[in-house]
Amino acid sequence: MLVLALSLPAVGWAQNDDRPTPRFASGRVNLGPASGEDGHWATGVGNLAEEDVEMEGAFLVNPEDIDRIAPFRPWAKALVQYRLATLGKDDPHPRCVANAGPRQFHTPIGIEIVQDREHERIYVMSGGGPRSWRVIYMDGRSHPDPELYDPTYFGHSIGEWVDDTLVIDTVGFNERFWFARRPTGMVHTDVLHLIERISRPSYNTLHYEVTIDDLKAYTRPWTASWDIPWSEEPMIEYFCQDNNRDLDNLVGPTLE
Amino acid sequence: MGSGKQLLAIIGLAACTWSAVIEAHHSFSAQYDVNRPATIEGMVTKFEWHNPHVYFYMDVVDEDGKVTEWELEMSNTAVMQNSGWNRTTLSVGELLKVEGALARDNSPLINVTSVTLLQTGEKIF
Repeated sequence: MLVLALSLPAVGWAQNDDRPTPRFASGRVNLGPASGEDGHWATGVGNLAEEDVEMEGAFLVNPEDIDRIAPFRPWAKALVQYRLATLGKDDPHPRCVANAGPRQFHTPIGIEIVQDREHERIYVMSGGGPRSWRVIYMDGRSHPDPELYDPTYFGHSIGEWVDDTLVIDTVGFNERFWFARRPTGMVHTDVLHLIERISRPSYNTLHYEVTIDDLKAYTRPWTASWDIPWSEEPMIEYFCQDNNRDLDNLVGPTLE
Repeated sequence: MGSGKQLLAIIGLAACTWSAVIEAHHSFSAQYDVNRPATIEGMVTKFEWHNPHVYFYMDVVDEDGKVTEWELEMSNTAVMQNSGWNRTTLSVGELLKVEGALARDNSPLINVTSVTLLQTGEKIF
C-alpha cells in the first residue's frame, strides 16, 4: 500500500538491536552517529498536537478534534480550519520555503544534528525542503534586541545542556511559513517563542518536545512531543528546487 | 509515436482505492482527487529521476487516435529506492499500464499507485 510505504522513514531505519546513548569522551550526549559510523534521524513521524488526535496524513480524521490540537484563539482556529478544508493547497513548504520551527523535526528525508564543540554551536541540518540548516548558539550569548533583529525563518536559537537534555530557546521568527507538517496549516505569529527539549534516551531514539508560546495565536503555552527513529544510512541529497513541478496543479477542492 | 499509436487509452473509474491523503513534499489531496481513479496505457517518452518527486511521461492514444502526453508523478527518490526503483528502471519506448488518481485541475496528470509492464504483465510498482 503506497500510504504505508510513504509513511515509513528512508532506508535503513534501525528498529532493532538498540544500543546505549552514544557519548563523546567528555561524557556529553552525542546527537549524531558514533565515531566511524553513518546515520541520520529519519524524520517524518509526529504530530504537533497537545493531545493524541487521530490523523490521516496531515489532516484530522474528525474535524471536531481541532480543539484538542491546541488552545487556539478564534481567528487562528478559523484560519487553520480553512487551511485544512482547502487541503493545504497554500502551504509555503512546496514552494521550497524552509521547514522551520517544529516542522524541521517531522519533515521527511531526515535531519542531522552536528555538535561543533570548538565553536560552541549546534547545527540542525534538514534533508527535506530546500536543504537548509539552523544554528543553535551554545556559547552563553543572549537573544539580540528584538527591535534590531530582522525576523527570520529559523529565528534566533540559544541552547544549553540540562543534564542529558538539550534545551533550546528560540525567538525572532517571521510569519512566512507554516510551522507544522501535521496537522497542516498551523499558525504562528511574530511573537512565537519556542522552548525545545531534545534528548536521546537510546542510540536509536531521539525524543523531541516543544512548548509553543504565542499568545497572539493561542490562549496559553502548550506542548507537543514525539520520538524520531535513527537510520543507519547517510541522508540522501534532496533539493526541493530540483524538479518542483507541482505548483500550478495545487488547486485544492472547490469549497461550497 | 511508433507503437504507442497502436495503443488504446483506457481511462476509467477502475476499482482503485487508497488513502485520501498521501504524504509527500506537498499535499497530494490538494493536487489529486482520490475519488477519480484512472487507468491508462501508453509508451514512455521521458523518465525524470529527480526530487522532490520522480516523474515519467507517456504518450497515450485515445479512441479517436489523438495522442496526449500524460505526466505521471511518483514519490521522492528515497521512497522509490525503497520500492526497488532506480534511475534506470524505466526506458523510453517501454509500454506500461499505469493506475492512479487524476489531477483536480483536469490536466493530463496522474499520481501513480501502480505500474505494470504491458509486454510481460509484471507489476513493477
